[in-house]
Amino acid sequence: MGKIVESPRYSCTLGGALATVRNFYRTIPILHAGPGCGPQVTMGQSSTAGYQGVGYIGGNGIPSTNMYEKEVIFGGEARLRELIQSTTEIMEGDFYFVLTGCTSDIIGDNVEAIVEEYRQKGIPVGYAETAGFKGNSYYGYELVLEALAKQVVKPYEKDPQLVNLFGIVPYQDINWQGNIEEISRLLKKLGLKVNTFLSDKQGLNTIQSSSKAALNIILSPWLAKKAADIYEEAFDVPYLRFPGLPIGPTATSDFLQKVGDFLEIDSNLVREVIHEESDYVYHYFERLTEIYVRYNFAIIGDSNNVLGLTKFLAEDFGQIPVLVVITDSPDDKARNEIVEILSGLECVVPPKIVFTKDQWEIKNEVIKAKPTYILGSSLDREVAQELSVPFQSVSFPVTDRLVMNRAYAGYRGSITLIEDLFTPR
Amino acid sequence: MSVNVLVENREERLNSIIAYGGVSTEILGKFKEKCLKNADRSFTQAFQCQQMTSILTLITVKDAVMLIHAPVGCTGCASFMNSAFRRGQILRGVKNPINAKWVATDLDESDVIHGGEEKLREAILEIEKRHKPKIIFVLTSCASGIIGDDVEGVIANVSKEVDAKVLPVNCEGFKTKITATGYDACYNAILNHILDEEPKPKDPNLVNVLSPFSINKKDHIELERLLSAIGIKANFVPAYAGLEDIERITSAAATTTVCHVHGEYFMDVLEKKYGIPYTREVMPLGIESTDKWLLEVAGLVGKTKEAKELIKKEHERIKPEIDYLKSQLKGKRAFISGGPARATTAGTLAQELGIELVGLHLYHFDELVGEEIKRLVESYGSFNVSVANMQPFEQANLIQRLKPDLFIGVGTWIAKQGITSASVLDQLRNSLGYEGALVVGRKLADAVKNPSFGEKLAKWRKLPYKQEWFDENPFKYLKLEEVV
Repeated sequence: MGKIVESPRYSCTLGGALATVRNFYRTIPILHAGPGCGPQVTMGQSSTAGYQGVGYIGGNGIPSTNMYEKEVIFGGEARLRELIQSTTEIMEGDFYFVLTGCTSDIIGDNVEAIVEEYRQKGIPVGYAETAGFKGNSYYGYELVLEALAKQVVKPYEKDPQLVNLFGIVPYQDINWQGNIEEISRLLKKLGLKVNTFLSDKQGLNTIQSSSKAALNIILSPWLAKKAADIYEEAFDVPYLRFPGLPIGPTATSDFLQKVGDFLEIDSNLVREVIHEESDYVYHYFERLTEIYVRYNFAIIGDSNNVLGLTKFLAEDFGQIPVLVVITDSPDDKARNEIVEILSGLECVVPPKIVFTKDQWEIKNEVIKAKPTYILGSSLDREVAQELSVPFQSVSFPVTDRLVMNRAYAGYRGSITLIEDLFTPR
Repeated sequence: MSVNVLVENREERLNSIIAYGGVSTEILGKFKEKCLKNADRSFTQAFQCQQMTSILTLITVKDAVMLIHAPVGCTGCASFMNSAFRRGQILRGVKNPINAKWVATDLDESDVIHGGEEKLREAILEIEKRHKPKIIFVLTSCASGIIGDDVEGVIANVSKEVDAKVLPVNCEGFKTKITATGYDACYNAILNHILDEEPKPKDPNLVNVLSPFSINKKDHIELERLLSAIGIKANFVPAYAGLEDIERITSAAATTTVCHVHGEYFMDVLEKKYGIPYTREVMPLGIESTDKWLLEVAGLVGKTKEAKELIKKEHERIKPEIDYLKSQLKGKRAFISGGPARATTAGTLAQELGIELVGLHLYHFDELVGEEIKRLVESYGSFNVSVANMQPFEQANLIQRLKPDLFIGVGTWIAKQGITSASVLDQLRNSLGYEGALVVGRKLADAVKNPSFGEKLAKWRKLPYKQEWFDENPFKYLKLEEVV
């Protein structure tokens, strides 16, 4: 397997970190990076996730030191100081967050010391060293969570009704906003309050007091390990990991049951919610029997989405997965778990499972698998057209349609997913 | 293989500046006296680096693979532009469009310490094996530049082992504040690694039309229509062109460009090296600018008479609708923002539509648009001018003061100020030539007709600046004393 990455399906560490920070409410990212990093990783992260644009702040709106030759040679610390100062004068926000790029990390600017100077002045500012060469978007998301747990979260008294929800990476999950809303809606029905940091106008205050939570829920087989450990050790918040997005009645009911069991929520309430929501889904699914068809599908995406979608389509919807391509480079332990889950799907012969981030390899695998339906990123529309099989974009990057509050997760999301997949075409 | 001559940054070559705030008559005066100095700002926002410009310039070249020697983040806009490339193919009649091909060497922590040259070499060999392309563009990045990878050396060695032409595009983002320098990096690579030392046999009716990717198919059709009407064959390069089209460049009788800020460097070298004359005039955006452009192209190949006749016919054809559009737009106060060529010619078009210019924001300023500013001052007299490599904070402040009826440019931020806008840069609709003048005019008239989106949005969502900022001098953060 080659080392190169053709048509990458994620941005860099800075891309994922910026995607996360700029979606905290009234939070102003400050880039200590090359001049193009802001637009490049906005375009390559959010514009490529169904045209989700700059929002409150992004792209060429982000304060950035724009490190040129002068900073490369003489260092950029003075420039960063100047920019943090002017940013606090101009930008409207409650929280500032410095993110570094390749240039700063290679030349070795002491960002921590500069950030500390501003903290001493009472300015709420966090930082993470997120040079692009360190890894992908997912790693950037993890570094930000870790930085928050170490620098921002403060000890609070417990609130047994409060949970933190982690694992959904903005834009890498193209439906991140809708998915977070749907999962939050369901947890709220169980009587819980939900911190997401990424919805409901949650910003600095929510993050600082997130140690109140009774539980960290992590929707991912591999993300947020270090942050979860810090929350557990420093703030006594345990975590419950659910591998993959819960999509559709079976997986979502399993998810709610596990949360309910862990938090010892009234089992009648959990049962009622599961019943009511599942019944709602089948109200719609019973209308599908005329057009119901069965496909051999190939699916390409990150572990969270691929696990969730494949489980739902195979276990609730009678579809046959023939190829599963995981593109987010999970660690070995998570890989084993992913293989185990996909090999143990109810009702079907296990699909071929491939881990790769390279478009060339993906395309070749898809051709070999002879699918009759392809679910992937917009990059995979090309092979679907070559094979003359139906295609739906479900994973990053998505550039063939607009995505706003669409959700595939939970109960209601599974209905939307079926609308997208089974529109006769 | 020839030696790659490096092209100077536009800061040095053209004295391009990115930081100015004042009025049109002043900047014109200072420009004439050659006393405009470059500067920067103590508060800055990110902008499109030259590497992004290089990606955009090359992503549609046929049978080519773009190898970006960088961490994956530096390929971000390629993924976004792939969607436009696919739409572009459909507009060009392709039923099943293909993806653009771009590859990252994926520089990681170990490469940053030990160097990425071996990885680059392997990547070139792997691309050759996979795609057998005719061209491999190797784009550098901040990371590859700072760690000091000898990209040219790797290419010189590996070139013997591959059939593809391998071109180094030196476009490290940290090297320039002028994003348009990225065009020069691409043309420099083409010049040094594709074109032969001796020109090909002349084709007296062939004219190169240098066009960036931002010029869409409808603009191509319109310019082709105008040129073919006077007997000129257009060779559009490099957007959507193949190797043969690029090789054909030296057989042309003349070179022009849809945007001289895009093509000036290459046109000038083609004249010096191959004796191919070129047009100095403006972008064909607006009626008078299209006249000038067409006359100049025609003049270079002896078709002036034909051009004059065509211009007369076209003027007659579009006059009724221009008159109508004028009646819709007369007296509207506009703020125009964009790249220097596009924004200044949009200013001329605005005047042709009866619009008043109250402010002009240029991404950079240099001698290439000196004449254009002069034209605008002659038409409008004094108006506000800001020169900034984007920096929307400054523009927001200016807009708040000037309260224009209409914003002509990319409307990303302006909608939240409740100002209606239309762009003269469009992936799907015309902007250039006489047809473009009509289409842009209609877009502007429509923008004025129904501003409800921005008006309502502005009530609910604000720009990310403090209220105090809008009370400050918009140019407070210029560091004029520092000559860079």
